[in-house]
Amino acid sequence: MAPLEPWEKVLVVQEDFLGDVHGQTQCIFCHGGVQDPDKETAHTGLVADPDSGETNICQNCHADTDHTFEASLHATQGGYWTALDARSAPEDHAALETMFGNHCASCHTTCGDCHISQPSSVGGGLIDGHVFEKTPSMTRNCTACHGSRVGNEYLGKNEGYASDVHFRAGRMKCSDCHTGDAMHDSSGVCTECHTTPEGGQPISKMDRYDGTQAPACESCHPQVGADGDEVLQHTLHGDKLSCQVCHSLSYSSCDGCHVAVSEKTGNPFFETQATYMTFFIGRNPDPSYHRPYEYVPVRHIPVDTQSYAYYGEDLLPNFDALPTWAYATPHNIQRITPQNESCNNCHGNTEIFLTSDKVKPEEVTANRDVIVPQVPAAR
Amino acid sequence: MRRYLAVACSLMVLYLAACRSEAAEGFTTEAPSPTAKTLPSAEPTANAIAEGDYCLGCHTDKEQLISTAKQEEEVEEESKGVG
Repeated sequence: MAPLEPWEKVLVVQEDFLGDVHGQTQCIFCHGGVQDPDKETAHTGLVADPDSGETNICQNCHADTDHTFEASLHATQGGYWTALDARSAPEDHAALETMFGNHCASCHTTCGDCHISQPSSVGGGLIDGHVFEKTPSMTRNCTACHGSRVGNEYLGKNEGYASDVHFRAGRMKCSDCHTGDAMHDSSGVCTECHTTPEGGQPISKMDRYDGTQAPACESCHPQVGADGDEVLQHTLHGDKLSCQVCHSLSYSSCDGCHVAVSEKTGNPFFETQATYMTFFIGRNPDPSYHRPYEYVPVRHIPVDTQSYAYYGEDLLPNFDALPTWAYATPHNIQRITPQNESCNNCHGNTEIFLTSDKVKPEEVTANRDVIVPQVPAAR
Repeated sequence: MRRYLAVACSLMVLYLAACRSEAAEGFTTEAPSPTAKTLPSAEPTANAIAEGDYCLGCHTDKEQLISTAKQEEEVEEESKGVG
């Protein structure tokens, strides 16, 4: 995404902005500062992002949304901490918090990062002359952060691989599946429609695959697997396979992201060792009521034992607690894929299953719950 | 009689008009000075706000923003690979 010029980032389109209800109040009500013709004086006490931290002005009118958003994964980045906590020991947390602040926290999302500006992680700047957009822009908000994997898959930017059918044929935007309710609330509001068994575990949503699937493919495709479904494969496989096992194309995996702070500039930076296209079916490491599948696609995530070595020795002593080939939901869905064209494109095809020979020796233990010991026999 | 009534009505109208003028002179036409938390009660037009608002006056003027914008320091990209 091309960066905006400094003036472009703060250019307000008067007619559009003042036509919005948010334009009915004075700028200094939200941004502080002083009404003065001199720039320096006017900017005294300026709050550029009035929707972040204790100054969050949005909650004055949007208290309900703001209340749930504060605890959502977009706001807390809780998914990162779920993984970091599992792989580390309590005594490592101080060093990891420093690492997190330097390298991960810039992806923390505020109200404005989705509804007014481009995210600060890509340089910020007003999207549309300070007009408040109820629905975020797919390319300037959503894939600005979720670009290298989801964005490239969905929009067909991985060379040789088609875009997702929902985009190509349906021109669907992220928000068509990922609703505002789900984006603003990770606590399990979805269970209002999708019931859990009596006594089922409460939805804690400590990562994006916790709890109810939201969105779920079946929400729009309820006929799949139901009585009368004419696609035999749906009935045969039932809940053994996640939808993506049959309907996604290859997707990118990454190896060894290492982070550090530059001695030269003092800026934090990262280096990813390799990025490559894969399609591997692995075992579901954590089957649940909502994701009962035996097999799911798995993607190699860019972590290794030395990822945070700059911040201390052996900061991930429990590295093997989680797989490095992680449950994935690729966003390049097709009706017909290489693996679903015939039974034996999958059955007996060792190339597309994550068997131990495809896992780095030092990561075999971490991936013990994901590695497929025996490929389903050919038909 | 009809002529008398016409004269009386005319005098009444003149008297009321004079009263209205005196009352109007008693009001101030100055708007209250704005404070940080003053919310406009009516829907203002674009021009009405911009004329008295230094923030919008500058931030809606592309040329002025270009001339006063601080150039952002070019940051050398030190990260490598896909983020």
